[in-house]
Amino acid sequence: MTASVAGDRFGRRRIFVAGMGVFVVASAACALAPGIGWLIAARAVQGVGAAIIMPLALAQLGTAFPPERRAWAFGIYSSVTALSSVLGPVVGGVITQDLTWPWIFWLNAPIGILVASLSVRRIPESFGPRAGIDFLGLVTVTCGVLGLVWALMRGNPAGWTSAETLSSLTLGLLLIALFIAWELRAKAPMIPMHLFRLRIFSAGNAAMFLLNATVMGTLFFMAQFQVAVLGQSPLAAGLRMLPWGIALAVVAPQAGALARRLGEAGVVSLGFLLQALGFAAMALIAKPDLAYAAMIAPMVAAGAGFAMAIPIVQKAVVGAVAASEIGKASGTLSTIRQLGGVFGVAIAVAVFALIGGRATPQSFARGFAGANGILALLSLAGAVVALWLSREAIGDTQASQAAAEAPAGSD
Amino acid sequence: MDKALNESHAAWVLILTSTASLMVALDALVVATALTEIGR
Repeated sequence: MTASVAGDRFGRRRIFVAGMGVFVVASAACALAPGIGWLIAARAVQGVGAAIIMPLALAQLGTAFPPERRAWAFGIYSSVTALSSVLGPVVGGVITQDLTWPWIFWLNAPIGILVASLSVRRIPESFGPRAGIDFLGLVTVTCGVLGLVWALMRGNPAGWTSAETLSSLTLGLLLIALFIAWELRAKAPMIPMHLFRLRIFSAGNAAMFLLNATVMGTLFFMAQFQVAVLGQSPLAAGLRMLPWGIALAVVAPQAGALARRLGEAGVVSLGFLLQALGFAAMALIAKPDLAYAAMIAPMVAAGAGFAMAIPIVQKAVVGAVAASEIGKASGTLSTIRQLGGVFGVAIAVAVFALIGGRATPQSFARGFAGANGILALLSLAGAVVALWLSREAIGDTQASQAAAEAPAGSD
Repeated sequence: MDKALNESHAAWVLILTSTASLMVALDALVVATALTEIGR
């Protein structure tokens, strides 16, 4: 979100390229890491780079295309991003099996350098309304999220009623409450709370939170399940995840056309339901002697469901606000998406550790089933939230425009 | 001319932002796949 504000102020392309630089340098640091501490630190910096890149990619995309072509552009963007779900597990498998894991991180260097240099030459600079950087908001939300995630991660080993868990949970909740109170009063808030008065914006962000929470939660365990329980090599595990990725890549470009027929709320809700079905089936069948063929249909359902929902949610959120607020809306959406991923993994890990563990294939399978079960429930919650995405866009955009014009200082 | 230029810029924005997003998403998935190996 801070990157988004910086992009509005100092130039979206400039900050986007800076984010690429941070990501590439941190990737190199990951590859050269002499130990786990160094790797974790470099990975955190890499996350900062990603947090700069993603909102500015959306903001630049939102401003480069007129509203009538945005659905098409977001569909292409989502489809290309979705290629990662096909390539990621396979590339990860090939590298860890045939090379060494540091090559995972070297992979980012040529791509990042190429995109950064071409961006400087080919993308025109753009700016948004100038606003100050909200440091208090940044500190309170970061520490608040850290407290909540810490409580989720430490709940099982330390005990859910232990002083450590309860104090980090309480501190996290207090800091999040403080963050919201501050954002409502701040002159230049990190997350512009007035946008949440727009129904589509609020519902879209909630849907994005749940989408990324569920997908990151399941992806975190899927390859590990294949290796630790089914005894596959990393490459075989990656190849066996292809049905999920292929379904995603095939369905994402069709999401716009589906939305025109079923409505945005209908498509996103249906996507969540399909995903819930896939996760629930996976939870029911997960066991050490699971035949791979039985996993294909759940993976296809989950991948297709995610692919139906994601481009429509992105388009709905960016389209719900006035043009001058696209940068803030993209930044908020990207922040919510990252938070969803963090909480999704944290919740899945907590349930995994509560029900199973890594001691034996049986306990891993139990934990994996539990994690998929909770992710299915979160997907069902997403199907309900998505119903609030029903068309009100013109009124919402006008309300956003009015809200954007209310405070002085816009560009 | 301006319209063609704008369309060319928009196409580059789409190509480069999509590639950047692919790189970030790919990194997350590749690392998730290799997590067991990195852990060793």
